[in-house]
Formats: sequence, C-alpha cells, structure tokens
Amino acid sequence: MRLTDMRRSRDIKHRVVAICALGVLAAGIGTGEVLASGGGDRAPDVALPAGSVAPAPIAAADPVLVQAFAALRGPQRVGDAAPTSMEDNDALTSGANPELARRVSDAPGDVVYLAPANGGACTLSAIGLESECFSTANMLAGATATAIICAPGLPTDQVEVFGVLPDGAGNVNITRADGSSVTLPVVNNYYEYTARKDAPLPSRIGWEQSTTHHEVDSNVPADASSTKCAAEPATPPSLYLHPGPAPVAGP
Amino acid sequence: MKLATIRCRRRAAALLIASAAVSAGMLAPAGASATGYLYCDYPVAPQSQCPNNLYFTFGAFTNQSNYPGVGTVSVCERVYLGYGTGGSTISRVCGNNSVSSGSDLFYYYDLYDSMTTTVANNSTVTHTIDGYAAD
Repeated sequence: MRLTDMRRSRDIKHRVVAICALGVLAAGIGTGEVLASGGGDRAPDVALPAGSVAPAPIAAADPVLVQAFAALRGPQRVGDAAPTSMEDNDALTSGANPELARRVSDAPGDVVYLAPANGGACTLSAIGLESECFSTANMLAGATATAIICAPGLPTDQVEVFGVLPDGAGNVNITRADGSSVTLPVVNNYYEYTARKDAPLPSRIGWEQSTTHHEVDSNVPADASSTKCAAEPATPPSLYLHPGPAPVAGP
Repeated sequence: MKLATIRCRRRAAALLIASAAVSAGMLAPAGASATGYLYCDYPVAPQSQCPNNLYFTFGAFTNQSNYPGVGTVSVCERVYLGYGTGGSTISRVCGNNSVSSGSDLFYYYDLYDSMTTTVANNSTVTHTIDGYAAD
C-alpha cells in the first residue's frame, strides 16, 4: 500500500497523541526561551521538516561537495540515479534529489545511494536502512558516522555503523571498545560496518588525511548491547519505501 | 487545523505541546496529510533519554532528533512499540547533530501499531535536544 494511501485511510480514524512526563514537558517549554537566548543555538545543519511540505529537490550538488567527493563527480552511470520511491521523509525535507544520486554500494540485499541535498547530501538505501542526511561541513570533516541499533532490515543481534569520508581519507580503521581495531574499507567515499552486539562494539573511526590523523565517534550508544529490538518483520522491502513524489498539502 | 482531531489522554498536555509546535511552525498546514509535533526541546543530561516523549495510538511515520546548537553532538532517536519506554525498540539511530528514523516505522505504521517516540543525548555533556515526530 502506498504511504499516502495509508495516511488517507488513517485520517478516518481518530489519532491520539499523549505526552508522557507532563511535568518535565512543562518545565522544558518554560525554559525554552531562556535556552534560546542563552547562546549557542543556531539553525540545524539540515533543516527540520515543516510538516509534510517538502522543498523542491535541489537542482545541482554543492560544488564544494563535488570537489571533495569523487563519488559525486563525473557523469552518472547506468543505475546511479536512485529510484524516486527511495526518498524517505528526512531526505524529502532536506531537498535531496535522487536523480543526481550516485550508487555508492551495491552489497547483496541492499543498494546505497548518495544523493545531493540542500546544504549537504543524504544516503538512501534500497531497504531503508542506511538513510541519513549530512551537512556539507560534517561531510568535509568526516563527521558522518551513524549507528543503527534497531531497525527493520537489521538483525536484532547486530549493530551497524555507516558514513561517508572525503577523498584522500586513507588507512581507515575502526576501533572497538576493547581497543582492538580493524581496517575499514571505504568504497566510493562510503563505508559500512556491522558487528554483533555481544562482541566489542565499534567505538571510534580513524583515518589519515594529508598526513593528519582524524578520529570521530562511532555514535554507538553505551547501552547498545542491552537494547531490546523488536523482531525483524518479514516484510518485502517495498513496504519500507516512500511512495515517490514528495507529499504535498491536499485539498 | 488538526488540533480538533487530537484526543489526548492528558488533554492539557496535548494542547501544551500543540501550542509549542504551532509557535515553532512545525505543524502541517490545514489539509496536509501529516501532522508534526515538536517535543523535548529541553536540556538533556549526558547519555540520557529526554524524559518527555510522545505517544501515538496509531503510530508515527517519522521520528527525528536534532541538536540545535553549535558544534557536533551525538544524538539519538528511539521509538518503542506500545505505550511508554518498556516495550521493544523498533527504531534506534544515533549520529551527529541530526538523525532520523528513516523508513524504520513504516511497517508498524501500516499496522496501526501504537508507538512512543523519544530522543536522547548521546554525548558526555548536557545539551538541548529537539525531537520531531509526525503521524
């Protein structure tokens, strides 16, 4: 069923939203203004979505990104453009353009694309797993490591870390919680690493660039091993995908 | 305006969060197919989940966590099946500054499963974390 159809049918039903921890909520709203004026806050790297109104997909990739990421340079090959059905909400609201995408990974069972977006780029996955948007600044700094602890398509006893690194990143490795490290292959500026939850978890990702050593956190939370994930649903991948064009305001 | 369609177990609380969402420009325009809710927007302790979260009786299709400040902060989004944070997790993603549930919730949304959406601060310092969920 198309997601829009699902939403339409759901509109017939009453929707209920309840807020837990009312006292904390009230306190949070009460302090919001103070926090906002307290300095430090700025516009998000990738804009928060405003309802279901998605901006138009960008017309061209950020030249800075094109220069720093070989995967985004050169003519598109057959199969590079991501199916428009692959856009997820985050990518839609970030103005990601799947027609400008490049296929960066085609591991069995999944295909991952890198699609230029407004102020950065988004990864799109055929099974909806590695779907995230990054700002240009974070992409240039290699600060894109994203950890998935629970998701349909990921076995419940595994965690996955994925991200992108700019051209020139060499000797890339991943350090685990016990101090051991393994080489992390980077292909088309993209890496992906899967580990069992009962093994030492990925902790840091390091690489050399222009003779300088860089490291970023893997973003795997400390309690990842004990997280109880729902059993993976036996659902065809198509159900995970967004149904093509951006949702727009209806009549 | 979708406020009239919101039935809340704690109506006062729902109106409170809805007002906050309206003022933040986060709700979809009238007639749009989705309604978005801003929540948390509150300083969250290091490596902790925001105590204020959202419950959707018939599910949500996206949950996002965002750090609105300067620099790089590890944030997480997490969605539980059912009411509260005791159920199984159906989406958990952590990354720098902004992460999304992607398409993790679609399967359960299609089944009208109830969900509780949360956001968390995965860094070692207290930071304001914004949550955004839509149904």
